[in-house]
Amino acid sequence: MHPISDKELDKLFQQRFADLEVEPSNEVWEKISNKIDNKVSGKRSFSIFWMAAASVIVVISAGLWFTRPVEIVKLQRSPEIAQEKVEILTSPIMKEPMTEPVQDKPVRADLNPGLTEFANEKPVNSDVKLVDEILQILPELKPAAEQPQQVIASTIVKKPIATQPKQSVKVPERYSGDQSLLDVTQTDLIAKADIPDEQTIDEERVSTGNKKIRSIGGLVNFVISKVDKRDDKLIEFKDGAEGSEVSGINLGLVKIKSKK
Amino acid sequence: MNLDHTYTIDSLLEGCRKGDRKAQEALYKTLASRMMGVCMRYAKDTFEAEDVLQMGFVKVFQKISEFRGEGSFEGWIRRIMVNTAIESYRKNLRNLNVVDIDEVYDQPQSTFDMTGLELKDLLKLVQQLSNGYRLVFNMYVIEGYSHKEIAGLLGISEGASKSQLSRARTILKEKIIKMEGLNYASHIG
Repeated sequence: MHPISDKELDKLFQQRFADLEVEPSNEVWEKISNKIDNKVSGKRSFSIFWMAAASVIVVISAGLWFTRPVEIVKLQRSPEIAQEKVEILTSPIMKEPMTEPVQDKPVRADLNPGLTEFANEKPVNSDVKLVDEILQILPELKPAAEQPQQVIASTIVKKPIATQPKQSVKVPERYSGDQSLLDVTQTDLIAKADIPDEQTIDEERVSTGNKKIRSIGGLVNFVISKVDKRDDKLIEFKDGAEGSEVSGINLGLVKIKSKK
Repeated sequence: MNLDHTYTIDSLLEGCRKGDRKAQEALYKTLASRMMGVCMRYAKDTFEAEDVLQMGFVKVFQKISEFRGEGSFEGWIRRIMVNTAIESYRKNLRNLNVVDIDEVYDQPQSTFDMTGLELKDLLKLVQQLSNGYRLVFNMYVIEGYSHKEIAGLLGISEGASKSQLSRARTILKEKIIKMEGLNYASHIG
């Protein structure tokens, strides 16, 4: 154990440390590289942030996009549902006249002006045989009924186009009874009102569906416009015929824009 | 050992001046382990050394236009590393109190993947010195700064620099003797 002089000590460390090499970890270059990037172009890291934000929004909107068809399937089914509703509406009212006898027809047929009126009012009567039957039962009234017959015939021609075959089959049963006459016209009015309603209901449903999707697209547009001040937004929705569509994507490097 | 690199340091200088990323990376890969060696002497552990290395190289690439070609390029880079270590020390001096020497003695000894057990042990001894002692010892003994220069760079008096170097030497001698007495192998247990 000899004492070490300052010179010895210094020399020892100088010699040993002269070729001191230590391998740094691989992350160091990554950090250096990133730092140089940030200094050279300060916006680089910002745009990377936006790329991340864009991808998140794209994923979310893609999710919304793929869940959307489920709603459309419902929309396409809606006419059937509407038809079913019409049938349900008419069926309880039909029950009452069904119990009454069908032989009452002649009684009603006596009322000549009533018959024509009735013929005009019932839109569902497409049965030509029925008219013939009435005329056969009442041979005396034949000449007098000739004019109404034409009227009836004219109405007959027109009505089958507008009405459903299902309803026309049921209608003969509804003739019976004086009170039922009012009911028949009521149900027919309901039916009349319902038939055009089918379309409007559809339109309403479609439009409400559109609104729903539109609000999602609009919501995304709104949020994006708040954070992205560029002309071409990160992602842009446009309201099309089949709900809202992605009309533009701008990821900085990649730009997609549909022509309006 | 980075001896098989195809580029020489000076040929990379032009590319680095133009900001060519490949040249920058090649320069880093060529000098990283040597500069890491410098940083290790000035740092108390590998993490601190890597921080200094990283900051140093960022400075090298930023200030490369300031290099006039006086002296070697590697020498210039080495000086930047040392200056970065000094800056780091001065920054830490404001934030943290200098670790007491007595605490340093009992610190667990971490292992490094290095060639030569002696070098490894010597590095450990230097790293275990308190920050001020280590800095002055490195600057004076290894880098060859004068006490006047050290005093200027660290913002201390020349006398303080001399006394710190003296104490650093004393501690190192004691430890070396202790290590020799323990015959290297048993100092772990």
